[in-house]
Amino acid sequence: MLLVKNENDAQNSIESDRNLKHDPLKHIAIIMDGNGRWAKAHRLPKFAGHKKGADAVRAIVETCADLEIKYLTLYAFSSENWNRPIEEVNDLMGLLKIYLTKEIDELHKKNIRISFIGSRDRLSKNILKLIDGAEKKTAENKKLHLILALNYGAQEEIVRAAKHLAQKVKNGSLDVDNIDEKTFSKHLYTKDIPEPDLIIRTSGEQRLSNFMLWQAAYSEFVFLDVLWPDFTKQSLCNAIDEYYKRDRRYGARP
Amino acid sequence: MLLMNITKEIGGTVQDPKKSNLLTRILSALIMLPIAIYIILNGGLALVVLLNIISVLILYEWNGICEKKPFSLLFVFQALCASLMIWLQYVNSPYLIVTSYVSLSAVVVISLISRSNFRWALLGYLYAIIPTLSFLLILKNSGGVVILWVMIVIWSMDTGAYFAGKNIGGPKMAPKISPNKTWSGLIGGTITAVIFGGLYAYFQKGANIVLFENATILLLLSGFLAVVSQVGDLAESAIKRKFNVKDSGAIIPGHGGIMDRVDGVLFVAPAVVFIEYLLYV
Repeated sequence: MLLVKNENDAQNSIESDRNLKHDPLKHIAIIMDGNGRWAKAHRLPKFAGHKKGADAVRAIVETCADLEIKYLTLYAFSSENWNRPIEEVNDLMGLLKIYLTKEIDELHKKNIRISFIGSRDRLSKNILKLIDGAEKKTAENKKLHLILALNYGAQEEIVRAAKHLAQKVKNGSLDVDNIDEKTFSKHLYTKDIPEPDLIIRTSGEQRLSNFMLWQAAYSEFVFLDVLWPDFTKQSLCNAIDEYYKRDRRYGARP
Repeated sequence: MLLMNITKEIGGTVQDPKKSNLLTRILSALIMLPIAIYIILNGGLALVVLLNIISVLILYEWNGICEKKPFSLLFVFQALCASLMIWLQYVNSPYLIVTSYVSLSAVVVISLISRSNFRWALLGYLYAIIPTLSFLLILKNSGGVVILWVMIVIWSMDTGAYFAGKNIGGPKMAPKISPNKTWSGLIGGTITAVIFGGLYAYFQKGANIVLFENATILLLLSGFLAVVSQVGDLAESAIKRKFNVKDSGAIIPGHGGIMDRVDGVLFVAPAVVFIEYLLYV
């Protein structure tokens, strides 16, 4: 990986690379991993790690807006995260509530649109209300589209899409032969969002963990050793650099 | 029980010097200190159970002092509410705030039904839950490392005050409330607390604690909290004096009750929570 010396260099190299060979990097998705390990390494309780992680989110959203990235998806809470101890789940939901109440005005001011993907059934009424409010308020914003994956699981998303399609076939509004990748995509949570060009996972783990299984078909993966609370603008620039060094062929011959 | 016990285990003879044998106290402290430190630093379920037991014992003694009968419908109800609050706080339940309002008004209603003084019932309930909930908040935000620091400050204060008061003596602080407390004890205790609070934080440098980052702030805080712990001490003495009680109970033979052991924490714990939130924001 090319280590960029300072942020200006990083930005310049991104600019020049962009002009050379690539379609612009439109959509970055991040699997934010390592809050717990960060807390442990600093001998702090888990909550302190999640809090620090929320601070990192704030910074990265801003950076993406500055770098003219159009879509940023953050894997905030997976459908499997409910299996964590109840105090941690409550903590995460508490932080989300704080984020949704305190930050929305700020996002709105910065012309950032926020929306959520994932199943809504296990979320509390309070959270659902905040989510709807945030989505409605920022719906017209154009600078950056921030997507939070909340109670999200890709397998559930695919099953859900299959059910919708089956329902449509059953009541006659759709012909089986008309189901193709495009129609299928239209029934996913991400129907209005382009597929991610770059998926970053922090903390050194190298797996997808039920994230965007369908959408990741041609995404580039960058795995960083940094724990999420330590993820900075520089880490993001490193990942973007790495992305522009890759040769994306979408299965075609070079 | 254990951890608070040690508070006065070392220096607690301030209030009843004749009753105890200093050597036995120091020895038993040396046995219990490692256990207490382990439970605090581990910061898990054991600490929550311990805090819950302490809060119930506080209520038991409180009702013994203020109502003259420790075991009553009011006590059972206060104990249940306090335990519920502690466990809701432990799991970070979103229902904590609602429950606190409901339980506060319920305690008032029950005390009125059982013809008790609702002011004392309410005060006892707050006495039992405010320090424990504060400790749980500190546990969540910064972990056992900070709780142990708080305890070390309080233990040092008590110990330093005991020896300074005994060896220097001089004018009394509040002869009407607590005849054994001297100004020299307060100063000596505060200095001891600053020294040991500072040393402890120095050895915990590996932990990224916001409170420990700035040496000046840390030392000032240690001293400030030490003084605050004496305010809690005096408040508890004042209540006992008002009801003409000498020891809050006799749960630990020869040592008095739990309330005598935890009075220092009463105002210190919420003060630490407050300071942490100030520093975090």
